[in-house]
Amino acid sequence: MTPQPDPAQPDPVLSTTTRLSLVAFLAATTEADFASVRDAVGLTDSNLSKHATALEAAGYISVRKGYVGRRPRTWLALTPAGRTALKIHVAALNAILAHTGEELARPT
Amino acid sequence: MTQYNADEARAALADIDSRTRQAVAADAPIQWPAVPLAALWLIAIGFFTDRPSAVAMPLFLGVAAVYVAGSFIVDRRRRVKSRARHWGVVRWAALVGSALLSGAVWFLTFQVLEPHTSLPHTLAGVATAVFMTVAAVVLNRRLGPRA
Repeated sequence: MTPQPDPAQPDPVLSTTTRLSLVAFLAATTEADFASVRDAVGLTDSNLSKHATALEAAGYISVRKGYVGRRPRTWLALTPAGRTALKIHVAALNAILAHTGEELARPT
Repeated sequence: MTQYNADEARAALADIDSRTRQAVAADAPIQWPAVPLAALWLIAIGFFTDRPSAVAMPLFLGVAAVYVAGSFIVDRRRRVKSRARHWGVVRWAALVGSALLSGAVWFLTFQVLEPHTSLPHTLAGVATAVFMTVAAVVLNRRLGPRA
């Protein structure tokens, strides 16, 4: 079962810089291939694989394997649950900044 | 539970913003089809403007079909599919737009320019095609994403 993030708190699953970057990148896409995400976020294959597995287990991303021509390709996509979690996380971050009187980003 | 201080929250939000822009920028250039389209138009018009318009018109429409088929191939090869680019809309706009542009090339060449000017037939067709292609390139760029 997908964990329900607490609306008042930053999501612990997204609280590492790498996972947040990964989810933020995917939030702007319908899907992106493994290599593009790896290069964009600056990870190794194994690191991305570990984080993707954790995010998939949380229900935040989906992993699809397919082919382009004869070449195998792995696609990552943000799930609706992941998109909601990111929105809540951004809202929580903005709430922290609201105490200092500033807001940098709206939920994507 | 991880706690953020204000500086960390600010940095996290800035990172989210920059990753979003990065994903949009990583998508394939949208204006790509204009280049082969321009080449095909010029070749087609160069070869066929001395033929009856009944031959030229289906040829122009055939070029439009190649253009759309190419867009499907490129879409399949996209590695980052940005939400900012509505490729479905662009593809159908390309289909309808290419047919309309091809029709416009035919109409301007055979019905407007050729009967009323002393331009050679082929030159009139090429001039029209160049104009329409430039218009297509500009439109394609305008349809590009805004991060």
